[in-house]
Amino acid sequence: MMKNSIKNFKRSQSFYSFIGLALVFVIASLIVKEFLTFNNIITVLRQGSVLLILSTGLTAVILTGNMDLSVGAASGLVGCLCAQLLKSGVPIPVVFVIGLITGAIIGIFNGFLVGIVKLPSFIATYGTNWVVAGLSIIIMNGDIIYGLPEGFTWLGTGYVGPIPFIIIVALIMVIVAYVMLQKTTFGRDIYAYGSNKDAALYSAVPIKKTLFSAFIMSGVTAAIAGILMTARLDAADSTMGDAYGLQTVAAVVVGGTSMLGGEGGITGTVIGAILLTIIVNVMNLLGITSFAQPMVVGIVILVMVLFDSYSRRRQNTTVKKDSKKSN
Amino acid sequence: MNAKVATNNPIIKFIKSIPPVVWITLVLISVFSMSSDRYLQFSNFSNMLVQSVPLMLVAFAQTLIVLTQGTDLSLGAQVSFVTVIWIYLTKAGVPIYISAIVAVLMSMCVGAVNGLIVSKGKIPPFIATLGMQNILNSISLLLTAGASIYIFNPLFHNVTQAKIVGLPLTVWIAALMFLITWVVLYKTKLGAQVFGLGGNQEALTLAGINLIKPSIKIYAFAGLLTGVSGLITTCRLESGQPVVGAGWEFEAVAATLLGGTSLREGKGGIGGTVFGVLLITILKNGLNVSGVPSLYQNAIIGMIILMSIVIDALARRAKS
Repeated sequence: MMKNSIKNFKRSQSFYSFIGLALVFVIASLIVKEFLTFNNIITVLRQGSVLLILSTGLTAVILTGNMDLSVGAASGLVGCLCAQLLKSGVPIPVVFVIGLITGAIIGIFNGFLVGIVKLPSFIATYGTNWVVAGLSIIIMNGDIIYGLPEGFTWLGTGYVGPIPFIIIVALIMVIVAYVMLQKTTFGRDIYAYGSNKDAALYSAVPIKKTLFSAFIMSGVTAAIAGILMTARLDAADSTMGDAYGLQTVAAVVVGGTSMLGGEGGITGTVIGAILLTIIVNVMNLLGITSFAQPMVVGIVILVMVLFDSYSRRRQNTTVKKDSKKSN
Repeated sequence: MNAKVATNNPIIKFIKSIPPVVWITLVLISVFSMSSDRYLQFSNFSNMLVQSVPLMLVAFAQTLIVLTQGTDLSLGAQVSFVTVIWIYLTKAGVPIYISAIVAVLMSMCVGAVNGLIVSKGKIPPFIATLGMQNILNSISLLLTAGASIYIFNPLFHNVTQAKIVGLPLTVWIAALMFLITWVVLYKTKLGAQVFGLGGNQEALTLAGINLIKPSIKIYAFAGLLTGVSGLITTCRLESGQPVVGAGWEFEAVAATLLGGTSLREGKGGIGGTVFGVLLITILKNGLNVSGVPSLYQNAIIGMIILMSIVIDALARRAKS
């Protein structure tokens, strides 16, 4: 029994992600001496918060076997919208509500394209990405906004004791997402949908509702991430979310959630997001130009997806061998 | 009863056989012609044809890959990469014709790597090519430090200004590439394998057919098309630009779908794609001619393209 559960953990993708994280952590502290300081660890977590929040929503979508390539642009749009509203004197709570609703609308739009029109999700959300990024340009009118109200920027820069508030928000989001995906009917439906859509349909899983909920969750987490991003930068410009799109996909995939759906979860995503943030942090500490970041993130994605595909096939052949033995 | 009438009446039959993309194109032309007097002039249409060439070649590449049930999100980055490599190498002293050939060969290699990762690694094409897109973007940005790079050479001007039998040289090049792609697709073994890959991959595997080599060849051929597109783009801009192709992969997917190639069944062809590209070019040109600020254009173009895909998908489903 015990042996089996260890075997299962070793076979799960999160195990490899965890080893990856440990390796990257050790290498980082060996090559950069500033890495392993309390201040830098807090910096890593603070930098990682936005990515972590984005990744929790995307995890839900990828678990259904779909993809959301619009999260980066969505967070950028919500950030720009909030900054513009705050500048024109709209009260902070109202701005929050509008931001969250905007995120939800983007999610509903994606859900419509994928669930009703039945476009492949990566095409539909790639299209949404362009539209939403275009809307950000319109909202910002080609400008940059800075100097936002202090009550708003505190969300991104404030501290509770020694811990930045933004980390606490990320932690709460992770716990909420974990409970939603692992302990509720909604979560079970998402896993059921992702592992076998037809079987899920026959066992009375509300297919469309589940799909829409997953995309809405992704849209809302993108909105929260966008609000925090703007608060932390104390500024907004139309391209600020762009880099996050690919990083979010990378974080979820590195965390061992399968692109085919139904396998993986939030635990892996947390590992993936932190691993990716450390890589970016180390590149910053080493003074590597930001032009090189997409390349590194791209390579990380390719390696992890190849590795996932390879280990899945090997796993399939060992399962076959095991069943032969028992025969 | 209705169906009987429809099949007997050749006019209705003909109208029904016209794909939605043509209707959308006609509607756009009439809308834009109302908003500007200059729109319906011959020079504007000839202009549009020239403007459509670089995207046309990328869309041919995308159509081939969509027919294999893949999508290549790195095509736009490949175009930028080729413009950068050509200028970069020429600046470094390589003769301009040799560096052009090297740039195209490099983009074919990029394609071959895509094909290898997709087929041998068995990973979804869009994620493999998304990774490649970012790697190429990084290389282009690193080589140019994020800005455009220039050289002065009369070749660029000569290519864009040359005319053969009244039509610009670049349009002839597009026609030639169309012909080559058509021959590859319909008259070669590789073309049959493209439709095979899109049709039923499991059946092919069970029949003992190796899918890796055809995949590599198809993605490399796509690299050839984006390579030529990159060369023409360089000639038009007379510079190497690290982000010039951003988003072209999406416009190429849209053109492919609007042209009637299906994402799921491996059906369709490059004939329809020509109309898809013309539609997108008319859209962009029309927004410019009718004076819509460039600030608004990204969102409007994206929205109209998405709407067209949605209308097209719904119309297709209603038909079947």
